[in-house]
Amino acid sequence: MFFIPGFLISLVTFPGVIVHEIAHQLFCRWFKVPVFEVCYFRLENPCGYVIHEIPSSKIQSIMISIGPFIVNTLIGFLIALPAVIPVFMTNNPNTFNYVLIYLGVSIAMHAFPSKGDANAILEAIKEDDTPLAAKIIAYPVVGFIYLGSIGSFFWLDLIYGIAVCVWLPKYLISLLA
Amino acid sequence: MPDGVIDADTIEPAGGNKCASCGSPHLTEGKTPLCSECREKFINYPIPNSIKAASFVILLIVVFSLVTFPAQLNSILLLEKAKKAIENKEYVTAEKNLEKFISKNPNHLEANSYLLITSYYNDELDKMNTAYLKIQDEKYEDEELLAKVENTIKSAGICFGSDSLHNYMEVADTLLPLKKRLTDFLSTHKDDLSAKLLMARINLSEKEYDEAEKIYDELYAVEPNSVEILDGIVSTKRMLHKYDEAMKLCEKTLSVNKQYVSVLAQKARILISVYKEKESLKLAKATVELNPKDAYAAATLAIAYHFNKMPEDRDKVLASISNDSEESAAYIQIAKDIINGKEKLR
Repeated sequence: MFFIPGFLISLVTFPGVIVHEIAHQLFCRWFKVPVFEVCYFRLENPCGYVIHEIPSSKIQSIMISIGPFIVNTLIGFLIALPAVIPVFMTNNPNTFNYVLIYLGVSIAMHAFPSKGDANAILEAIKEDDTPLAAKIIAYPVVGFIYLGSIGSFFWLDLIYGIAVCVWLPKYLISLLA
Repeated sequence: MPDGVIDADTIEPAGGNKCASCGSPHLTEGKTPLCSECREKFINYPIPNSIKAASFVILLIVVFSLVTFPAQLNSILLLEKAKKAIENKEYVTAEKNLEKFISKNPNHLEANSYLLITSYYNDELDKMNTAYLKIQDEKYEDEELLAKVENTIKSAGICFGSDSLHNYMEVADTLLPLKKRLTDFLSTHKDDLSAKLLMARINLSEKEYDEAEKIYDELYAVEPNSVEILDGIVSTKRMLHKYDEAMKLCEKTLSVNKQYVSVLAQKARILISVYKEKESLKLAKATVELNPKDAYAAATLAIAYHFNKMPEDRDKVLASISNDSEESAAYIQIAKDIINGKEKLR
């Protein structure tokens, strides 16, 4: 497998890291969870983080952890959407279209929650008072996050970014035609 | 992948019953001991101006994307619809969509390639030539499309004339009638399909239907899917009152191009000949809807109105046909002759 140091990937795709952390922070704000520290981007591992209080609601814990998955996916998709047509379908792209594709893929490929996010959910649902429904939702989510984390070694995050920003728009457009 | 959330238990409580941030004894509910003021402050943890600016830029780009997307979408949908229409052998629909798409993307290789194909199937050789000039020096990545284009160009060769025919016509005595020159050429080039097609057309226009039929039958045996040949053979069979054969050949042509206007109009005329006037009118109307500018289709509609005893509609249609070309004028004249009984349709 072709190996590129993580910090280099993070450096090239830094907009996605920033959006990821903003998404965590915004979900904390919407759920009125205090945030104690935020690092939007750095060249270390982790390349970004949000330190916040453990929410009293398990659902809130899950939502804060998977917030970036929703936000990064949506924003990456929307940014790349109009550029997919000239770049991949009508073959008359301009430089800005390529910028949009780069930005969209960078953002979408950082949609996957990290192991840290998974651990946060896991800690929250381990508590005795966690309702069964929350556990039923949370364990598969944690499983998927771990799988995504393993998959990132095989460029799953990049594949996901391309899928969201290139394949999905092309597929939706072909459905509309 | 960024590591996102780190749990908040790194903040040590300042004291059992005091706010971990300011030391106030008035705590609010939550896992971290915080007073309401500090809790509110941490909930609204400040976002640096640089991050706000970056977020604003991203937001602007999202808005830009949403604003520009509908126009891009409409454009690509035209191409996708054209491709679907080609799959369905609806070449007029395909061509309409392609022309709209090409007006916005004039040098689009795929669209111009498909336009070349649709123009051939719609018997619009000038358009086909224009599309060819745009794509002739282009490199194809799509081998399948390239093969389709090459096959179409090969099939259309019969309409454009062979090189040997062109060469012969250049040196032949231009004072001789075309038919004589063609006869001379065919005496030495018996297998030249383009020359045969031209001769069949001349025979047809000079009402030498038996001769035309003979040549068209020969051509059809060699090129059974050529719309040019099928169009001519349908005309010939119709003029020879061989309506069953003509109708079968109409269906054969429409299996190649469901929207071949000339053959749809001919089918409508055959329906009149076999006393199916209502069916004919319905088909003639649909044909004119496909291509309102086609003089032959419009003349057929006028004839269909006439045989359905609708003289006002007939005259309105006849008046609306533009006779800006010799061909259109001839179609109008033939329609008038049929209406006046000078020419028999059945």
